[in-house]
Amino acid sequence: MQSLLRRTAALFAKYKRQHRASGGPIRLELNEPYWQPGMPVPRFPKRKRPVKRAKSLLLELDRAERERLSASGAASHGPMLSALRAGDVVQLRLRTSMQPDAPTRELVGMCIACRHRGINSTFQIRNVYDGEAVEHGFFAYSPMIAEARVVDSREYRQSKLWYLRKRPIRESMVRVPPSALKSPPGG
Amino acid sequence: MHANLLRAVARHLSPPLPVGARFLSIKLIRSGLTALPDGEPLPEDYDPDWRPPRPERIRRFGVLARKVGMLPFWNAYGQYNCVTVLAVDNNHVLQVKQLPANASPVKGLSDMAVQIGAGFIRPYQAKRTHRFHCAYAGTDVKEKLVEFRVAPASAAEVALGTPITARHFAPGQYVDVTGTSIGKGFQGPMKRHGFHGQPASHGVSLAHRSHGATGQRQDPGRVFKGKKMAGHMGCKRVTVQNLLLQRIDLRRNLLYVSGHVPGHAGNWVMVRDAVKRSGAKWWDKLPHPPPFPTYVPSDDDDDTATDDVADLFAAPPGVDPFRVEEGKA
Repeated sequence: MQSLLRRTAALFAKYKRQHRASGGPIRLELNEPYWQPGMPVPRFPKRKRPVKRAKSLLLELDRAERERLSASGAASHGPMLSALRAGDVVQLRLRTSMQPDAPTRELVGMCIACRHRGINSTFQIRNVYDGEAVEHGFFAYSPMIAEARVVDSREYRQSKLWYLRKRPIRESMVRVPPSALKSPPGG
Repeated sequence: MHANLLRAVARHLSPPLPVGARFLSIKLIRSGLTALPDGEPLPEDYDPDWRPPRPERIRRFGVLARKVGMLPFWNAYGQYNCVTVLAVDNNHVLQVKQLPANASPVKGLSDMAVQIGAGFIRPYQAKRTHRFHCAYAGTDVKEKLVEFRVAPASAAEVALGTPITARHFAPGQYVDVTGTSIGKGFQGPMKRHGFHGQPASHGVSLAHRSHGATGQRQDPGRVFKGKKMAGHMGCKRVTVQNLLLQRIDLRRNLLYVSGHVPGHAGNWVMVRDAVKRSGAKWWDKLPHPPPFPTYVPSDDDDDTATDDVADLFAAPPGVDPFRVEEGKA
């Protein structure tokens, strides 16, 4: 009985500590000198904890940065590449440097791992060259990706196709017929 | 805006030598000269004890910022880097003080200090002393106070209540960021000090991650003070030096520094000019050196936040590493 009363008193004290309004009328003199008699009662907007404020700001910055990069042309294929799925066959044209007349190179491969994290989205493509399987990883919003196109889409039940490393090479082969590659993206 | 800083630097460099001055090595001068080495007589204002005055180090005050998080950053050459976003959160100058005569004489720092307040708390959440301290400067009640000791004394010539924004820094400069590191709790010596532990097998009993021996034998017969052992790790003040400031967001008052910063998101950090990258040698390289003592908005600024310009970016360093030069494969 005594322990029950003690626990109830402790709960009541905790409630009073956490809920300021339950302590009595607002003592406006605690706001001096930021409050003078005759001023309205100050009411401040409620704010989240600093960690939550920081993370929500970071989300907004992430979104703004994605918009800026895709609108300015530095990473125009970012939104499409950050929404890839495992099994999508992509054709990429990559820059070798940011100079406007720099040569570009082509890559075709199947996406085996896609990481969806906004501007930090990445994907890994896998293809077979001369009997050797090669995997490549890219940032979706990297400025080194000049053009990108999803050519085909294979169906897989997994989201990460790491098991292809243990499977026969022919399952990782991506042979895009020339008709699908009719014109390289971007001319 | 940057003329102020260059003038300040020039003020503290050695004065120009008199016309016709010739360089004489200190060794020559100390050995006693009666005539110049090439036979000519000594000039009239020759003083064997004159030495060029050491240029005084310039240390501006810093800002208090909150760590927001990290983002990727690609510079104009396509190089990838991680940047930490720091939000300069409602900074104002709360006090400019002259430290007492018995303050520790730190080399390169004057006796003037600037106290910066940051953050916002409700008046009734603060003690009465603190409320009046903030009200005296004409600002709202601050959550965090930090004092910066500056050099030279003119770096503290700033009015009470001046708002400090991200414009206090210039993109392309280096900064030191000080924060409270993430607490790890009680940790063993392998994690805390990088000890190597003992082998996992070959007869080792119950000591795979322990520190092993702690001393010698009868001499000295004790364990030295400061012996590295297990204990509390983290949650202490850590400074990361020489972080490049890549970008400044003028609207949201954000600093993008390349690299990692101690602490969690939402943590308070102190951002100051890098002590090892400050001075005329580094600031001359910047297109717009940082303002001295701080940024004061004026009408003739050409890069205030307008609809077109909302961010200031650092110029990419050096030459494009991916370039292919003419004539080379």
